[in-house]
Amino acid sequence: MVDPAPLSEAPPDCLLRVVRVEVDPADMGRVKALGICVGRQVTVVQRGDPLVIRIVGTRLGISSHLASAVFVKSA
Amino acid sequence: MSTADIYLPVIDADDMGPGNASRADDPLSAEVTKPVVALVGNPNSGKTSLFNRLTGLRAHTANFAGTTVEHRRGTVTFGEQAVELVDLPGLYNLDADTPDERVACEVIRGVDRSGKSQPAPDLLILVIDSTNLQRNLFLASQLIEVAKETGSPVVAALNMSDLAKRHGLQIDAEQLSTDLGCPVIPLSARTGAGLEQLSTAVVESLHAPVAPSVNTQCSCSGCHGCGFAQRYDWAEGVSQKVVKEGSDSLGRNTQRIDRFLTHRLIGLAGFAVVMFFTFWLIYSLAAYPMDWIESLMAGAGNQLSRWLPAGDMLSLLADGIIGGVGGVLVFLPQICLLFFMLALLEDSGYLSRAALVMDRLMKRVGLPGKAFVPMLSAHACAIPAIMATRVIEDRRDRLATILVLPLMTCSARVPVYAMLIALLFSNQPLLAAAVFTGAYALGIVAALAMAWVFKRTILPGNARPLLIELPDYKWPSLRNALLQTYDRSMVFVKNAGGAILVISIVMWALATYPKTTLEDLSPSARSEITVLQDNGDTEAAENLLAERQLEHSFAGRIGQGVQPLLAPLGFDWKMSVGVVSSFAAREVIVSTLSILYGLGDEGDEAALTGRLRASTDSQGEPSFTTPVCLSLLVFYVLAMQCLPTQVITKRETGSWGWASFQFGYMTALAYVAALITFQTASVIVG
Repeated sequence: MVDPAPLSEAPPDCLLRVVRVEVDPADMGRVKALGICVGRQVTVVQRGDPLVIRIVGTRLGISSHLASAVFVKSA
Repeated sequence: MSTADIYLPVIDADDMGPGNASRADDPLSAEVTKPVVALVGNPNSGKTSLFNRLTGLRAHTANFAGTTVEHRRGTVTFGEQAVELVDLPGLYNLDADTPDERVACEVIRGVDRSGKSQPAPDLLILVIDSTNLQRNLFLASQLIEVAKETGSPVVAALNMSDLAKRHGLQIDAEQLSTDLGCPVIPLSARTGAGLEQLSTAVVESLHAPVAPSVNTQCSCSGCHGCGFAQRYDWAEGVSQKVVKEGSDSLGRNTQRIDRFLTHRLIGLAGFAVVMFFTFWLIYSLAAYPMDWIESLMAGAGNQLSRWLPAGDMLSLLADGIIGGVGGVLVFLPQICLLFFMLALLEDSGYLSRAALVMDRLMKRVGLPGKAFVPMLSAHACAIPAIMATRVIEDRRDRLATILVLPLMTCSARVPVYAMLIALLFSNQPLLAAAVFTGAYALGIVAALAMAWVFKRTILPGNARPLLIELPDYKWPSLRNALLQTYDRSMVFVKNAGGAILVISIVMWALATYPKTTLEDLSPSARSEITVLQDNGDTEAAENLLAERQLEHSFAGRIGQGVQPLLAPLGFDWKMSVGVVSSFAAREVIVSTLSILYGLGDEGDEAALTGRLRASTDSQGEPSFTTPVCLSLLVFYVLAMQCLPTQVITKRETGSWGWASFQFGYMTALAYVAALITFQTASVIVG
């Protein structure tokens, strides 16, 4: 994986860290409220569209469109 | 303005207005008032379970003043202190997205819709899920910040501590209490453990209110970025500090189940199975209470006719009001069962998985994954479905969903389908089942197609991308599901009841006036009735008079007036009267046709089918040919024939414009589709 890479292309079951969030401003509030925010650890549980990820202690379903605007690197 | 005005649209005797620190200078009110305690927490934190555990059946549903946002409230006695407990909508943060969340934030912050200040609750109970500490602490951080400003004391309820214990998760409540700056009470809403301690803490905080004064944002140098990141860092730090022993087993089952239920193919199949089972249950179980309601209504009508002399008053009460309202009430068992099943599925955690697997399909036509719950509900009734769209954050998405919802086959269409399909294939159950399924499928396909059209035209743009929490699976609570069913059903009856009553009366008047007596009829019609009477067949005579009566009524005249317009669809004037009468409520066509074909308004289904099949037009050709039946069927699948739904569309979209648009496009769609069906089928059948 090239660091940093979009979450939508990250390999499953690896511990990653969010480094940049570049989603549409209209979605920013929701995204951050659910914990997708710079500095958080994240793991991809299931790839595809939507993806299943694990962040801030819970599983989230996230459309790959959103996930492609969230950049992560290995934690 | 007192707190009572904020929370309660109607103030009843024991809700004279909750007390508030700001009103302590008003000794008169201080004696009779109750403090207001609000429950705040994440969705899935078990907040509503706690509310139900504390209030039981004493709670009721109310609207926040000036909004359509509902919430539950009820009086609870903590020790000797009676308080008004308010269940606020679930929140992830205090920067709101949906109307429900916005209202919850306003209540917590102590501002009203226009931003003017209003008394904040006297105490906030923050519900935290022990098994999901870090995420729940984010909201805690914001809430404590706000409580500092408003001066509201906070008590944290560390819920699901039984589940945490079972999985070996150990949380240091004392340390957490220090970090949150408020009392922390471990409890379980499910078992009731810890409620005593909660009660004590609430009473103490109410008597000596102290707002939290801790700093809940990480201020260390390693933190970066916005307030969000700082709060998450704080939440992570606190949760690391207070969790003495982590758990390996927590969430393991969820992981196993999700391997299947969120799978892109198996997940869809699982969804289909769950839905099939739900609807099978709804249709098979609801049949019994529906029969009871029908016989109850018939009994009430008969009883009335014994008490009241025959005349307009009796007809209005028995046919108009009891018949009309009963015609809708009869679907209540199905609606209740649907609410019950949805409550169970929601509580178990499955619904968010369903939204996940459906999202990929829905977003192609511009609908969000979350629209599928309303779309499901619409198969029972469009009204609760439209109300259920409030979970959708984006206005465009919500509007698109509301517009297409009434295309789903609701319960009221089922009697019409049943009648037409019995006419088409009486002795071919397989074909009948296939057409029945086809009618359902047509509704769904039409809804998706129209959503796609709206996406390309009047509601451009894509649905907001999916982002949804997938909570751990758990056994749903029957008690919660029953309470929720009761609640939502009452809201449905209250919201739709008034509209249905008014519409029933109007439709009754249209079908009753102007009156036709024996003297108004042509000599031949008159002699026909007299002959029947002389032969002792008074029932047939009455039915024939009723037929003429309806023919000459306003509804009958409108039907005959629009018949030329409906002729290309294959409808004769009797069917046209049926179509016109069913624009208020579609199932009315069955009783209208029953009257028009001389069976009275209580003719049984088999008799009606026989009569309809034997009916001929003036040239002696059968009226209900295969093309006509198919055309009628398609028309009833697609047409907007439900005034109560229109009223709810207006209320939820805020304008009659959208309600009229919905009516217009659905009618046009139904007309064109029925036209194509009739013309094509006529060519094929010959």
